[in-house]
Amino acid sequence: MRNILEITDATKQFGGLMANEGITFNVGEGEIVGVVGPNGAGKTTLFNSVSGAHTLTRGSIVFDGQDVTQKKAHEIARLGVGRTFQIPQSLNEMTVTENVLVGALMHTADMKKAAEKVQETLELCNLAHRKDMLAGKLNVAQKKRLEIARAMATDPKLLLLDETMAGLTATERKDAVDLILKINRMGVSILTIEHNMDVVMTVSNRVVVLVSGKLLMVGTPEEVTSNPEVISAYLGGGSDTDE
Amino acid sequence: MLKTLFGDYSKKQLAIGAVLIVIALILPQLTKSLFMYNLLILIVIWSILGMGWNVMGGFCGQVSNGHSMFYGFGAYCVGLPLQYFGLSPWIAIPFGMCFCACVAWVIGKPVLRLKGHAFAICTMALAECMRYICVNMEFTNGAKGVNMFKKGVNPILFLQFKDPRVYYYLYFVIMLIVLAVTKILSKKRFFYYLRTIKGNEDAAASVGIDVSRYKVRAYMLSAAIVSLGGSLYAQYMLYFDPASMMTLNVSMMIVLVAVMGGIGTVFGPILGAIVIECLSEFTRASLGQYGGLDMVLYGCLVIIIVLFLPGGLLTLPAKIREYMDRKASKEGAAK
Amino acid sequence: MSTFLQAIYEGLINGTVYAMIAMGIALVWGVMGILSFSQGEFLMIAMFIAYFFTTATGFPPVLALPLCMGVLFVLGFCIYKTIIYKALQGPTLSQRLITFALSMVLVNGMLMLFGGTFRTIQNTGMDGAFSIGPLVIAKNRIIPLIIAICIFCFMLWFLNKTRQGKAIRATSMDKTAAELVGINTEKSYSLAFGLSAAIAGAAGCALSYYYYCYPSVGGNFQLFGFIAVVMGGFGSVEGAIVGGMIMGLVDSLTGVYFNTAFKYLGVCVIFMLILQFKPKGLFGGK
Repeated sequence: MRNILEITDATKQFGGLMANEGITFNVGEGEIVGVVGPNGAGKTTLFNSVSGAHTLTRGSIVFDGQDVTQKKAHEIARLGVGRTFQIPQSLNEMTVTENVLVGALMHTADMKKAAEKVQETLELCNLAHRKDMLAGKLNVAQKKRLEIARAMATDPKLLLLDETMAGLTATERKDAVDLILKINRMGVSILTIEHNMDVVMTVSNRVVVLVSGKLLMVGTPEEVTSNPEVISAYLGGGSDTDE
Repeated sequence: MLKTLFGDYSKKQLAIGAVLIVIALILPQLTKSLFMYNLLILIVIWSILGMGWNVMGGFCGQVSNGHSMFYGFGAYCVGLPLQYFGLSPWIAIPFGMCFCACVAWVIGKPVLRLKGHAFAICTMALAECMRYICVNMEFTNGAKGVNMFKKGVNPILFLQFKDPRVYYYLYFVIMLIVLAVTKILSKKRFFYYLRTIKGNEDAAASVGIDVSRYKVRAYMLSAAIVSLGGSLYAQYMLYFDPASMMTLNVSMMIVLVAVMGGIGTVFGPILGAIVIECLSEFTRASLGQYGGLDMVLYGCLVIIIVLFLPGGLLTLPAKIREYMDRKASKEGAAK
Repeated sequence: MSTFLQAIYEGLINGTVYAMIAMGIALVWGVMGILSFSQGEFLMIAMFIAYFFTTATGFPPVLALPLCMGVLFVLGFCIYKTIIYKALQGPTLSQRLITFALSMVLVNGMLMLFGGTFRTIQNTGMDGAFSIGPLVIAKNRIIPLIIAICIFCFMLWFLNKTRQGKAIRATSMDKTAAELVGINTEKSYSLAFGLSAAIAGAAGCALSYYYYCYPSVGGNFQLFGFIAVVMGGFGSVEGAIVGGMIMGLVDSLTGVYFNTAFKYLGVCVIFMLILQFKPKGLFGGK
């Protein structure tokens, strides 16, 4: 299997704080990799490094055969990394259609082609019935789906999902899991941050465990859940397994 | 092209638009007062200024408080070439627009790194700076300003007409062109990207938008349109001086025109310009002799309008409807 | 050398006025996020009060200080309650425009009442100058300096040591959190707005010693105040003082060594340079 993303020795320092230190792992093409870890483990920092919101202090990130360590966020997005945000950053004064449209416009300036793409994506993410609503008026679950839709409209090769499940009800969560699996079947590799262990175990091919900025282990869901270190550091350590 | 221009509107709306344009064309024929001609021309010029600012402040969300700089530059770009080389404004106006776009490009990169109030203050400082330079340089005739009146020149070639109505019709057409350009652009990728940047810069970057580059482009377009407005004003007055054109008051007025009409909308600035100019010209004409009273009244009206209609006058119909509904439901509840 | 020292001295004196204006702006900016354009006008009103007080009673302007600050505090408080309170529910830009329209009303209101003539206080009781080494010190600058220092100390003490001052600081850091711990943020807001007007009042009283008083005098100080705030770090009161001092120095040094016409240019260049290296201002980024 070819690697779509190779993270080597990723280290990010904010002043005196080591948010990430020496993290190394790969994401294979077509794979779903879950990132887990207690609050403050540096998961979102890692995402921001990959998506180019900031540059690494040390180490390198290779996406699809290209070194993207020093690239800016919009350049990385254009190469094919889509992302969502932990707190949905929907464009509240624009309609749902327009929100997705700005994603679709990345590869084409032609409004007709973009509109087709938008329609397709809205149906994929089950938002078609809300398409003329202002994004600010959506509920949490819809906003989260809108985030995914906007990222998907850019035709990404790799999708970074930051806590898509947080704050959702059980049914909404199930829908979201289905959506993630559907997107994955379309050939998109996925790297997802998730607090809910059940979800991580069902969707992920492999799981990456971060603890206080460092990589604890990488392995299949079974390996991770049976590892005593993980259990003591994370699973048994806190009550934040389910948000 | 026609579809992007008119596709959004119902037949009724198009008919209203056509009627409004006809009224605007007939209006100067109905009156002989120079005051009215002046008012109409100022409305058109300020609409253009408001639309220019709106590209940057309304659509892209970068609120500049220093657009009087480009307004002044636009005037100088027609005045000085005429003074030194006898250049026709037909060449000088596009030159001025290019020049202002270039200025915006040069200062855009460092200035646009700032956000919110800091950006506004920085643009204000730059405009003030430029005013002082223009007041103190020999090249720009200093505080004396530039007199563009020339006797016996070809009126069409040099845009110097005796009848103010000619200016009005010409400027009205130019305003319609600017309006059409804004309308068409508002359906293009460029404006969608600007609105995305206004909404959220991180989200914008995540869909591949080069935020700083698009901000600079918006700044350039905005500067060019405001420069056009400045050129037209100078060409109409045939005299201008930096002390009256490049002040903070002018910058704020440009913002006010756009905000009062409806920020980030295509037609808002025109509505804003009509209201603002009518307010300021009528109060000045009727109360000007009481040294300051006109401005006090004008200021109070501005405070009231901005306070009660933060979304601009375009939201007034919706507000009234909302109020009526509430009243109706209250009455219904009482029964 | 002595020119240089003299320029530095004059710069610092002018800087205290900019610093006082900047403090008021920083307070309103920090607490309620408004860029207040009416600060310069508060200063102007205080100058008029000091002027009329002195011409009417013959006492030196410094005795008008409590009057200036008191009147301005009440004025600021009333403006907050009537206009700003409502404006805070609207968008930021509307708030800015409203304070601008307010400044227009104040300037033109004063113009209407008292005309546009330049007035200077003839008898401040502090005429002439004396010299210390190479420095020539004009006596009419001494009292303003003392007033400014007192105001700085008072404000720093108030914001850091008193209960209400701490409440204002907390409100500026995080409004929701402040409300959760039981701070009356509404009171903080109105107090902050009133205080910022009162500081401008003190500045006006100090300025009336050596500057002419006319309705649009505030505009000259307003922009420098803004720049000082950004330079010092947005919304930080300490930063505003330092920023104001820098503005004063730049102002007087460019005036002495180049041309007064270039003082804005000098200010702009310094401003841009600082922001290129410290985009959040000298004291920003806490």
